[in-house]
Amino acid sequence: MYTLRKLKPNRTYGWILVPIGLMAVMLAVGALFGAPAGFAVGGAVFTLYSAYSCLTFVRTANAGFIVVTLFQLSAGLVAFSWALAYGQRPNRLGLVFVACMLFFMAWMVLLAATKKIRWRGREVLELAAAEVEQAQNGYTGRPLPVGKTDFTQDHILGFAEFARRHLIAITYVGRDRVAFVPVREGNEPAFILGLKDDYTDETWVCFDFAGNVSANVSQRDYLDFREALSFDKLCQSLGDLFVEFVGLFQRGESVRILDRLDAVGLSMFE
Amino acid sequence: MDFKSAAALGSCLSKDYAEDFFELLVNYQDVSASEAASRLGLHIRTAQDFLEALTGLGIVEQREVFEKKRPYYRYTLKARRITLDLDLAQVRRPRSAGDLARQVREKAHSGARFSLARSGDRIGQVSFSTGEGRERKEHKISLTDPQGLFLYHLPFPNAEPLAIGDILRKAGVEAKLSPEILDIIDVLIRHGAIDVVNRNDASREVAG
Repeated sequence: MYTLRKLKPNRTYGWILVPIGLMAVMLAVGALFGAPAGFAVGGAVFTLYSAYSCLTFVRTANAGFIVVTLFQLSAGLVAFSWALAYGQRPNRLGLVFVACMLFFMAWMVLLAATKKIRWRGREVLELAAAEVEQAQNGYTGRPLPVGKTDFTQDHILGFAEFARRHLIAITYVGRDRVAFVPVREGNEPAFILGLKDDYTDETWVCFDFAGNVSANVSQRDYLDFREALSFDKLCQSLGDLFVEFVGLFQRGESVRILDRLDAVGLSMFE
Repeated sequence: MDFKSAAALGSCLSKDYAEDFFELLVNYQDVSASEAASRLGLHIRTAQDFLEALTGLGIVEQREVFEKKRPYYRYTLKARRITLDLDLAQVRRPRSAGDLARQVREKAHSGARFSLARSGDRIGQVSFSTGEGRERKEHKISLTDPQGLFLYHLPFPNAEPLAIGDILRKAGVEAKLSPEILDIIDVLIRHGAIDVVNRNDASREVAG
């Protein structure tokens, strides 16, 4: 079934530049200082990357990132072992590292294919925009008060944990409110590295513990829709979507939240 | 006393030589500007301005006298007590019942930037840029809590406009605070950040 997308196609291919860039750096260092140096650089980069993935796990509690961390760590160890034993017969430890790397790589690909380690911001925006019609550009930097709910603090905090774990949104938990920032694949490093203390310029939905819900769509995200959508309806729809999600979570039907996101039908490369 | 007179009196009283000047006026039967200036160590122009300001306020009386053929003024204290009585109700802007019935919404592409308050449930500040290039200036207005709540609930540019009274109710702002709300609305209208929509236009737009 072909689904009409409201967002412009994702043309950010940064994810493919990382392995290509790494290969290029390894080859360049290898050509200049010899193959062991090239492997050592590759090992160092993989190890650093594993630290980033580990940080992602710490911030989101998404267990998939343990697998990613282990893959990158084992790839780093493979590269280091090749650097140390260059020109020698492969030793048993090196083969164990290669086996671990291949095992975790296969697992990681499976997780990526099943969207377990995919940031869901794009799906969230598609769902929010699904019923919103085209209108004159009515963008404003002001958030929209969406309405009032009777969710308890525990429900909101529980959903915040769920949203983080399933990469639906980065959460900012305050003394009297929780803000959910849906993050699109490729935009997450700034949030993971803690470079975004202030979320108010982003797209967000905020639940305060008195039950008030407000929503905001950032100008960047708004301009990423193919058409100028009715801005107030888009904000309302985004807020309603999260209210629905918290409702489903409250009723113990959190799997339906993931079903709705999966139903958008984005491929792993979109 | 009107605000202008009160401001002029306040300005006179705030001079660092005011007390000495009044001492002179109280103890002398009358005095000229040059006599007062020489006695208090002031420039004659300063003394003259001070005395003329007091004359304008009716505190001293001015009398023209002649020395040979040259005229000059002598000043006599007229009031033995100065009362600054200012009714602040006179600076209250006149409002009509129709003010709260005006239908408003944010104006698209106004260039106004609304910043959220730290509490996150209201607008804390609104800023406008004026001028171009090097002359560009930013004017920031920090909002009171009721103003912030009102602007938080102001309809978006492409949303249906609402009456100011309805927005006040939606925002939970008491009607007695409407003067400060109407004040910020007037400012935002002047800066082109709020659209006042004629009821007929709005219905036509919604129908369209």
